[in-house]
Amino acid sequence: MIHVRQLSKAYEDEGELRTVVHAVDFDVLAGQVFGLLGPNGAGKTTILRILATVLKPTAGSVSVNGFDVVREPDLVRRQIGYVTTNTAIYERMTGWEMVEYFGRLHGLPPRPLHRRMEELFSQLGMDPLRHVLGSTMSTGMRQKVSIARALIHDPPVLIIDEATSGLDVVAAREVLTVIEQLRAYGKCILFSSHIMSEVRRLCDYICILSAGRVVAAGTTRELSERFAQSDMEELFYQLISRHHPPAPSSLLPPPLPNARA
Amino acid sequence: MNPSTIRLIFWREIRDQLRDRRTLVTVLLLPLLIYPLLSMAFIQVAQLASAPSSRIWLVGDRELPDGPPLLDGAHLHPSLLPSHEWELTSIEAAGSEDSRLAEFIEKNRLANGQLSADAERVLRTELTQRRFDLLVIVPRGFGDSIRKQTPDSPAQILVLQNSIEPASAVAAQRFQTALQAWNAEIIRQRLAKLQVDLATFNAAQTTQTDLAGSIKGSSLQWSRVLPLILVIWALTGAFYPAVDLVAGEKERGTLETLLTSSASRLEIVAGKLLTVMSFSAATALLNMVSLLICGSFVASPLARLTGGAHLGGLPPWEIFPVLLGALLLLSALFSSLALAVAAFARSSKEGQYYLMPLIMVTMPLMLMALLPGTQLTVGTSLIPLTGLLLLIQAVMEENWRAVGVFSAPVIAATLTACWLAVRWCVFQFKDERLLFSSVERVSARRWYQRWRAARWSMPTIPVAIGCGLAIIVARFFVGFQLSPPTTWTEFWTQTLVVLIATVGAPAVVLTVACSRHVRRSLLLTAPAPWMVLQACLLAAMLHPAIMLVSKVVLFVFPLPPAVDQAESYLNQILMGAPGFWAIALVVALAPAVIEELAFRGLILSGLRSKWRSATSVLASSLLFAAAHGILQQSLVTFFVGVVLGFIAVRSGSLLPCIAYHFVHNTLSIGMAQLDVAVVEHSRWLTGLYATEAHHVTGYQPLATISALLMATILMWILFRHGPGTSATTRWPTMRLALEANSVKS
Repeated sequence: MIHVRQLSKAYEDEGELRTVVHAVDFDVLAGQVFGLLGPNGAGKTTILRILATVLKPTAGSVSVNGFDVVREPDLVRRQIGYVTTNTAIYERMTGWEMVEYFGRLHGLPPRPLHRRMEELFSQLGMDPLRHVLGSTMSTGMRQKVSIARALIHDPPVLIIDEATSGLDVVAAREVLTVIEQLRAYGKCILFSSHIMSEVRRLCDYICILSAGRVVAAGTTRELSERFAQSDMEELFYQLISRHHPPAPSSLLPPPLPNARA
Repeated sequence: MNPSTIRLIFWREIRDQLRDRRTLVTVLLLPLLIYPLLSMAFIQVAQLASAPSSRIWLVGDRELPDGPPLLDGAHLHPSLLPSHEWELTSIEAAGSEDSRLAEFIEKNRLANGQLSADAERVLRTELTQRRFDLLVIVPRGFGDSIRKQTPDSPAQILVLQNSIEPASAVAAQRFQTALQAWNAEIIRQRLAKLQVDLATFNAAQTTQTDLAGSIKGSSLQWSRVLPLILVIWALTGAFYPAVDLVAGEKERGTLETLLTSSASRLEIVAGKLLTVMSFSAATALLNMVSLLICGSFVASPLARLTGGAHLGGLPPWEIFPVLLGALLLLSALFSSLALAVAAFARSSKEGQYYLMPLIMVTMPLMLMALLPGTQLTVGTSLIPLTGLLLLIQAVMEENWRAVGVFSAPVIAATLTACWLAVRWCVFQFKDERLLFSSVERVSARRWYQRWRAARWSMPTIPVAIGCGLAIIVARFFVGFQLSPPTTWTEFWTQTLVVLIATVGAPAVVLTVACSRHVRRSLLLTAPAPWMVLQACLLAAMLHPAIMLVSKVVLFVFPLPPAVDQAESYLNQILMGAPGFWAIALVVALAPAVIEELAFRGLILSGLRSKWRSATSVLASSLLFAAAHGILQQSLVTFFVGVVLGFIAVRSGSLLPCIAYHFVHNTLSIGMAQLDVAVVEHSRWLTGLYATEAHHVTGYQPLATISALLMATILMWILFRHGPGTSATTRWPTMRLALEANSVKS
């Protein structure tokens, strides 16, 4: 479904060239949840934006469901549902209006669109959000609307960027359950995160990025065996520490002399 | 492009904006309230304001003749001023200080009758301290001079005013009016003594009747006010929604989700553009209606109160459909511009800052239309906004002939400007650097460190644009400072010094300072020899077409007489040259070398470091054209710049560009210097050049068409077989740098 070959991306930052993704390769198949892991600034969002045709690759090739992201961006956008990390929704629209708007943008006729909306609102527990304006929604509510918006045209590929970021435990669990259901429906899901418990629960295949490079890739079992580390969080920490050594604790300044507890 | 998608985006944006309280207040409420409230406030202020009184200090009142009377006690005589002004004017005689002041003034008078600077200062202080507005000095013997039936010269009264003080100017004006009336009375009395009737001096008089009528008169007043209101509100009404719809969406992150939907960039831009247009038109329309209603009720009483001109009744209803059409065009123009400008901003706050540059561009175009001398011509009709405003004025003045003739070019020019702005906006929506740009840091230290480390292998866009602007500004100021040359020697010295100082020096200094590869930056590479020959041939073949463009430009924008005179003056100076070779060296070769170094060398290389070749060529040609100062010359130079840019890109060398530029300039000067008699006596030259009234005016049509065909073939050969230099082959682009980084790592 998703094929990424030698993908590189460079930005110009204040006159200097900064490469944020270096020759990345991976494939994601239908019915698979593919975890793109990495610390902040590893290049996860950049890769997802390239897949969503918002950014153009500097080098390499990317195809989504058989369509090239550079040559056929319009067709690629019909294949994907994209959930951004910042739960971007319109503040002056209700949940119902927002999902309907994106459904119509994807060209769904009114009757099937409303049938699909009823299903989605019911499955995602969004009925109370029908008439609530975006500006008054909580982060969890916004994320649900964002997922419904991405699913409205029933795309075969889902790109989800740190979907549980900022959510409380209940909301995060609901989102993860939705993703599991989508996998059961045979969707191809590319999921970025830096929370190991989510990755262990969801991902069939993991690709760990650090400073724009793939430092390890495989199933959770394969990675545990290869690096002789059963704790995924510890494994993740070890792998990214090679590229980003943590600051020694001795560098932390001592407490202020007059500071009160 | 799917119309239903555009419609969908449009209605969503409209609904979104209408749910915003600030938009509702700005678009709907403010226009309805602002004019009545402003009028009320103005009436209140006008009631407080009153005409100033005038205190006049008179020295030498005893010298005044007995009759006719100038004074009446402490006032001027009532017959000399309108009653309301007379009441406000009081006279105070200097009395015992008469002789002191008269002596002081006599002592400090210069040969030309004026006072010395010191005396002026003393009297100014005296006036201010004593709170007088005007000092009037009647000299000794004034009365005797007036009493004479036929004096040797008119009797003089010295009036000293302080023009810094507005009250002093008013006092001077009142005294002058009174003195004129008094003077007329003296003349009448003298003529009566001579038994000559005053009517003898009025041989002919005019009787004027304004055929405009009262309705047209009110239209004339409105035609000055309404276009201004429409422009201001169409711009304001477009700008704020545009910022919210683009920069605001970027800030909230919703633009990213919209871009991943099935809607294309063009559909998104079109939907947003229609929304912005609706708000722009609605704001301007509501303001216009509110102003018209308010104006028809309040303007007349307000004019009576302030003594100013009033707007009269409403303009005739026939003009409103045309005004609405013009308003739609205005809204389309401002909306597309505002949307494109707003795309630069990363947040709504940043977007607000871009209103000022937009106003700076709009204001001169608007003011040009409002200047009393500007009329709707072929030239002005092609200037966006100016042409449209002049058309609105023509409609309101019921000048239907001008409306009929110039509507098509005005609409075409406005729609072209809209189309370009929309293209720009779509381009911005595709540019990921603008969509996801981070906040820029301004750090002189960092900039210096990068410059010192010579990380720019080639000049950058800011360096290129900076160089272009430096040249334009330097040429502008140097042009004002220099006096016109009078001899050939002065001419060539001045030309070379100005070229080197204002064009060559900035280009070379900036190239050396900002680039590691000076030769490559200035395109100082050896081309294939055939390319230089081809450039020379191309210059000769394109010259007739360029001359034709020049003729069209001069027809559309005729040269002012002053420029025409300067040209003939220049031709006289060139006649002093030792030969045509000297003229060609100074006027053709020197500019060819120096201007090419700057515009096709540093500037084009710098622009191409990031922009596409076509964009860079257009931008460098714009700078090249702007550096030539005179509008008519700049328009023609732009086309030459595009051809030169094309040659530079295809040949990768400056030499063919210099060759082209030299041949082009030489042919132009040669044609100006060509003797008509020589042309008329040569069969070959007669077939080539067209002559008219002892001047070579251009090329024959057949020669122009044949040469243009040849030029097309030459350009095609250059396009197909020129080595061509893309950015990738000349310096590392992002892709190459990326590969280099990968290899390193």
